[in-house]
Amino acid sequence: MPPRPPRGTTPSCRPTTALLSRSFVRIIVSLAIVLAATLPLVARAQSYPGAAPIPRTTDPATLHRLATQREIVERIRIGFRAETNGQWAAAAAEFVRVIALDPPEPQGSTAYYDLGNALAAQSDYADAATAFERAIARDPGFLAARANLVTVYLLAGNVPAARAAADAFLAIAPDSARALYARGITALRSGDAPTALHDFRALSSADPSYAVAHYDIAIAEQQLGRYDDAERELRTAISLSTGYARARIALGAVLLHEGRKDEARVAFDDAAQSTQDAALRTLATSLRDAIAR
Amino acid sequence: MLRFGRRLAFGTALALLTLASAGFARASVLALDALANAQLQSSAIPSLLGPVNELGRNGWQCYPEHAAKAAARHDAELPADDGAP
Repeated sequence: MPPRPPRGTTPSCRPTTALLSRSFVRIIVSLAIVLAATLPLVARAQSYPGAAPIPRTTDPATLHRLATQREIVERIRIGFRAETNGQWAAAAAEFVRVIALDPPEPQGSTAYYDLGNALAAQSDYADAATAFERAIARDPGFLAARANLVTVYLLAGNVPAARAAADAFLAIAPDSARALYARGITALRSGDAPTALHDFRALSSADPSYAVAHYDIAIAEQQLGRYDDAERELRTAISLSTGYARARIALGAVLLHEGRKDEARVAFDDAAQSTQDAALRTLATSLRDAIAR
Repeated sequence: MLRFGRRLAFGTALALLTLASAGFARASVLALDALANAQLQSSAIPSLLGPVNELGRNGWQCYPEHAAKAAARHDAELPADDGAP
């Protein structure tokens, strides 16, 4: 007969459990040691570069080049933040410094573009135009620079230069709504009504609900002496945007030209009622009151 | 003779006044027409597209370049439907 096990123990499991738990603890401790030892290796194996990689050279020329690259990127970041906050002079100073460092692409065209924006915001349209031109010279496919070049030439009142810039913009981006609008506006302002009509009709075909395109079609029609067509387009613009006071004033002018004084008076009155803009309201009221009954 | 002279002077003055009034009225109509026609201007100049960051125009979040390229006018930062720039 086998000896009776001591009281409170079961020969079938108690010693085995103790053995297992001791082995388990040993395994866990071993794993922890291995993990702790390999952790730096795992971290080092990460492939993400740092924000500013440590140069792995002692060559002065290479170090200088790396420092210049770093300065270019940092100054563009600072200038970008300044422009976003409306600090135009501070932004312009950063971009002037970047340009002096002769940055590669895309930072070169970016610096000129952002400098153009900062100068335009300070009403320095001539220098802004030069900056946008240089951005385009570095990167001819830079459409935002082409768009802004048209805008600054128009702001400067240089319609022929704006027209040339708008033609080039549309040639490189024929599907761009912005390019169509830019060319249409410059054509209208230079008296080229057929081109304006073509561009605003294209814009209107792409989006018939755009009231401004109908308004500009009406102005082109009026320049061509087609007052009936102008009236129709203006009524379409007003139906699409009831608060379009400028379109209501234009409608009044067209009606007045056709000798329809009562309808013109109503149009000017509607314009005065439909806007919160004090200048437009005063203009509409003056025109309404100037019409003799 | 004196009475005739007075009548002549009165008639001449009346005729001149009528002509002047007609002239003023015509000038006023022309001025109003010119003033109204002066309001037939193109819509607003498009606003400047915003700044580009250090990644350049080819960055996937370069909104100004997307706006310049967009075929849809809502993405192109064009003047609003009430003509406001």
